[in-house]
Amino acid sequence: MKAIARLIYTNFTGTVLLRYITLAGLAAGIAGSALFPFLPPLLAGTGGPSRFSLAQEAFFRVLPIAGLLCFVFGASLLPTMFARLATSHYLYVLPYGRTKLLVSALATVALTSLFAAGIVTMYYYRMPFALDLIFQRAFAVSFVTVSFLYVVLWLTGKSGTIGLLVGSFVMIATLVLPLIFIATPSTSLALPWTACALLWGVFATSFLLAPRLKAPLGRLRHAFVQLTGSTYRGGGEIDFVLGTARPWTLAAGQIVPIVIATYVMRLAAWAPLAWVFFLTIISVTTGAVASLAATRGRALWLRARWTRAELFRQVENSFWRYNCYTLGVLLLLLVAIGDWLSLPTRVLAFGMGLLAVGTALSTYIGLIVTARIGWRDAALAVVVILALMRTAYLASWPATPTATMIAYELGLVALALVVREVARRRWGRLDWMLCRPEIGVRAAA
Amino acid sequence: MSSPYIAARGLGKSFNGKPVLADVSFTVEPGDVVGVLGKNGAGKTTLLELVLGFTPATAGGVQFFGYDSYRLPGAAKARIGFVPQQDELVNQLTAADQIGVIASFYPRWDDDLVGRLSREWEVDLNQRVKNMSVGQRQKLSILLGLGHKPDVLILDEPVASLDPVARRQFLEQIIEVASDGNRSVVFSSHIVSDVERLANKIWILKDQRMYWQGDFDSLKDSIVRLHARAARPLPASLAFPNALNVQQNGTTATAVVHGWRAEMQAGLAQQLEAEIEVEQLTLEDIFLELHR
Repeated sequence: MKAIARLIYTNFTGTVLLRYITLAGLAAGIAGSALFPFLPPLLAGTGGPSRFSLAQEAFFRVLPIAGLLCFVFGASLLPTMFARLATSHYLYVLPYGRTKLLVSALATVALTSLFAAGIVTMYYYRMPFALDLIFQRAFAVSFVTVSFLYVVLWLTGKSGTIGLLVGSFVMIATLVLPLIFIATPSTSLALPWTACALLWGVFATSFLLAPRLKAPLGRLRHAFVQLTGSTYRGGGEIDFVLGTARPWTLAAGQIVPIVIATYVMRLAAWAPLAWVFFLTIISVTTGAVASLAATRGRALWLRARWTRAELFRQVENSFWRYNCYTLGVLLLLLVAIGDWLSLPTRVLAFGMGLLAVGTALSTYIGLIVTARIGWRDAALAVVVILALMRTAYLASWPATPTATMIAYELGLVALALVVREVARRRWGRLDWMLCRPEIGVRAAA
Repeated sequence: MSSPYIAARGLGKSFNGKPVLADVSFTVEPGDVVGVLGKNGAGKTTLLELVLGFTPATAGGVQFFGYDSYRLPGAAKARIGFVPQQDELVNQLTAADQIGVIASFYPRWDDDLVGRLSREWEVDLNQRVKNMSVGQRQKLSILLGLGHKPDVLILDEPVASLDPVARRQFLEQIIEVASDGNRSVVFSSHIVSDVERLANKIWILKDQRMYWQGDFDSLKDSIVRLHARAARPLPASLAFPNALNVQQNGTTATAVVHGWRAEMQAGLAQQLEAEIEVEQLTLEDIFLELHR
């Protein structure tokens, strides 16, 4: 019990920042929800007489949600802690380490889900609904969503092809699953509980059996490498070093999660145009590989005669060769799915442009990472993602004027060119001491 | 006599059909301090991983505290300490939090010992792991392996990134652990002088096999350098017993032999009609001669 409690505590308070975020989340969530039973009814601008202004009502409503978000992100050390311990040798020598780690993860997700379910239930406090049902449904839905969310958080730090594929899949599941629950209002708890049990059942079984699965999986990986051949081919050294030697793996792997997501979204019968949104998210996954280009490019710079500026051009070319495959497949998928769902040609045209510019933006955002990511880079990435999402939304909305769409996409192209210029300049004065791949060596430096 | 903590018989491991360890047998008794030597790729890490049950053996098996090492129960694990070759710490945590997390898994954790060692080794417990130097991280890793006072401590090249002062402090600590008499240490290292100073048993891995196991004195007595001086030129093909390496120059010859016994000296002198001088080798010399 001690170890489980300690792991849960560390998940929420592992760093000073997380400690404050968790505490703020707890305070805002509890205080905000506690207000609902005591406040006069909130009317949210329905026209009825209210004792509060709209701003006050908005504050009361948003406070618990803000608290919930803080609480969920307060435990964002969970994926890192879990992955680090799960992949370390400690797990083999710590007494009951595997079981305790699994239980701690489950309990952390359960705690955040309990918190979420409590807040959701308080929202319905004055309404004539069965609160216990609302609590249970909110708990189960949160459990699934939060589980996926932590996986996505973990995958944001991964950049291997397989990691990106799994990341794309999980990302889509995170976005689609809760929407299905919302799109099909029901008092039945069967679906969310089944999803919960399935998700954690599969995860727990594979985690507990991991030592026994290691050898067969290793053989499978070995067979895969034998089948696909070496990532290295003469003349392809740059691609090999940068990790762009196998563009087909990601390009082809994108098909499965996107097709599943599109099918599910069609069944849910809500806003089929929203797939533009999902495809745009997928188009930015190449940026994750590009963000490691500087650390990987160090080996090229040490061995080749290129200047830093020449190296940037080589790296840029390599990534565009890689992007041609992934983007090509995305465009084909867009046309195929668009044809199947009978989407307007106009949406397809703007969607194609958006995918191309999304790939370009994410690649250059990745290439500007030449040292530790600072707050400016993070802010720029957030702005870019928001701009892409906004454009995706507009592209999938039939009423958006064509001129507006063209302006938005041209704006994104201009933004991509600006980010490219920033990347080019940074590579021109790249400090390789800040780009060492090994964490140990970096710590020493 | 107490039963051995670790006993392996016919141990073997291969990856994708390629053997990395074959037919290895050994025991580790209470009080043993075992130094594992071998070139890169000799199978040291694989051997330690098999002992700890990280991976199943493809032949033979290891009994650890009487249990199959691949299926060690939690209670047995609580008696084992392990320091990996590369630290496996959580970068986001402070050293104190990292210790707290690992300590929580053990029913007996010696806070005083860890506190004392962290002061002596100058490990700042308030520092975040990611800001620590490689040496500091390694010291923290060693603290995590020692904190619960394990009956068996297994270390995979633990001092590779430590400076000489820290290395000496670490060795002193290992001696303190081993002086208990009921505890054992198994460690691999490339620093032969450390093994020579610390170990009372030595395992030498060569060509995926256990080439030698035993105490250091037996090893020194067994592998020696012989100097032969004769009045007449020595024959072209000299018959030194179990020679690892022979160098000959007219009336003199030098040979490193394995399996030497003192009573062989007179016979060899008579056979070669030469004066035989026996030179004891350091562990480093022995290791180099074995891998020449």
